[in-house]
Amino acid sequence: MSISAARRLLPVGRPGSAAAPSFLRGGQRSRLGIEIAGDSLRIAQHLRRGAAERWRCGELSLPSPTAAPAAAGRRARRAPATAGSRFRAGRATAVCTSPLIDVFPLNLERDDDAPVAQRVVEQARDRLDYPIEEAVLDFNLLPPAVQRPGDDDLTVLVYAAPRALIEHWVASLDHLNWYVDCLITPGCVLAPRIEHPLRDARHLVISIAGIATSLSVVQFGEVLLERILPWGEQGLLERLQAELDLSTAQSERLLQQSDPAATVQEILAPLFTELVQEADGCLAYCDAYFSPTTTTALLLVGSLAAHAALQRFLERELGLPRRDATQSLQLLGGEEIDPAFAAAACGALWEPEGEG
Amino acid sequence: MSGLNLIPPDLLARREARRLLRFWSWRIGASVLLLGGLFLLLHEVAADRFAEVEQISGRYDDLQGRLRSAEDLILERDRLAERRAVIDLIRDEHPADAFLFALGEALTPDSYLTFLELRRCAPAGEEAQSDPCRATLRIRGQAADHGRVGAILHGLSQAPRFADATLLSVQEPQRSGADRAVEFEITATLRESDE
Repeated sequence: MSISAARRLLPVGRPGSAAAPSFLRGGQRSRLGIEIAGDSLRIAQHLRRGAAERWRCGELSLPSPTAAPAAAGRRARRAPATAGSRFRAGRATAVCTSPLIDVFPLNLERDDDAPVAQRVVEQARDRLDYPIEEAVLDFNLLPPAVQRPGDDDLTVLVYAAPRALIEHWVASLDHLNWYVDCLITPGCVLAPRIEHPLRDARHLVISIAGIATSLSVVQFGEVLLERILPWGEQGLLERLQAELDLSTAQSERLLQQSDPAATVQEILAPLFTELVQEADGCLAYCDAYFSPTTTTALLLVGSLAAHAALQRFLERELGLPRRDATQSLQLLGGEEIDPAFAAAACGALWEPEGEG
Repeated sequence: MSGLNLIPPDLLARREARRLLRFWSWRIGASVLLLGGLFLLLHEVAADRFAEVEQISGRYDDLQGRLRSAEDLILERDRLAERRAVIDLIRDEHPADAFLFALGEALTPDSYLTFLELRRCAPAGEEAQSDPCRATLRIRGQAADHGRVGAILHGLSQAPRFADATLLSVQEPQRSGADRAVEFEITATLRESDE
């Protein structure tokens, strides 16, 4: 178990930091953003050569460590390493969308003398359904601007994940020679990059990944609340396969259609409805516990960002205007990036604590 | 940006230590290999140089050995030169092939020699002589008749290589029969002027 307060005090010599010698900083290679959703990875890297800038994006799958026998497993594990070798980076940020990551807010009394980290640990102990000793905890202290007038409590958003899961991801990416020094959720990585003419505009960010979907409410560049649903693109595919008795490839083609037939929309409607209900719940929570805002917009990124039926459904059901992800995200130069790689691209531009 | 990070600090520190260990291990390993390679290269170069020095040293010893026997070679050369001088002296003073050719010319076709003796003079200075020494040729042989003996004597007298050709004896054959050859003995001196 660890908490960010302890991490901040730990005298870890970070080669990427300014204090480290230049030869340990990974050269001039730009950071890699890796979106992890189960065993599939979406990778983005911003490349700059002189005045020319461009994005390099790609997808690959991690082999399951238990699926294949030993020799075949070794070969299978080498294959992604070869495929990923075209992405050479000094450091990487992993953006994880997993239902195993718990995100919950906590209210702490401002007058309490005990350290915030200690109080977070005490309260989080009751919120987790596994021993806190097997968890990795970190938290964000929300800015005072989001608090309701007269509310003196400290509000923190706690992120918790099983340590074994984090170690598995880190080891898998280490095997691909990507040195991940930061692992965060899509909401956290997207929040600082969202631009809006109105400073206090609130955004509902929906990021659909492979096996999970992240819902986050973002304001002032901070995540107010984040929920991770246990289904993503894979869940939609499985539902199509089950209902229509299709192969995986046929289901994928059907799902990739921007405006699918009404039957398909009907099949996917329960999941979309669940998404809307969760989004409504998140927005209602934020309206109830944080400062009111006049403008709220919807931002859809991830696998189905270009899915017209889903866009229409969300706009209609949530009653929110949808903003174009590519235009709304403050990304660096280069060609316009696919919204499916938005989280990975923001991860590539992420500056971990101590850098930048 | 928030400082959120779900990678626990101890894992980060452990990975950082591993990374640094790999970083330095690789470089130290490469340095050791490089130094080893350089050492082997220097060893090879030094071995070549040592072999070259050994070779040159061997040649020097060989040359030293040859230099030690040079005096013997000079002595041998002098000895051979002396022998050669004697042979040349003999050849020049008594050219045997010319004498034999002249003798052959003087003999008649049906005569043959049974004895030939050449008496040379002693080398100059060995013993003092009142008369100048002259090499003499003494031959014995058989001819068909007296006329042939006379022809041989005449031939020797006329040959420029011989002088003072003298018929010492002529004997008739003792037994009678078809073989009635005459035995003769002639002496002559070798002509000094032709030497």
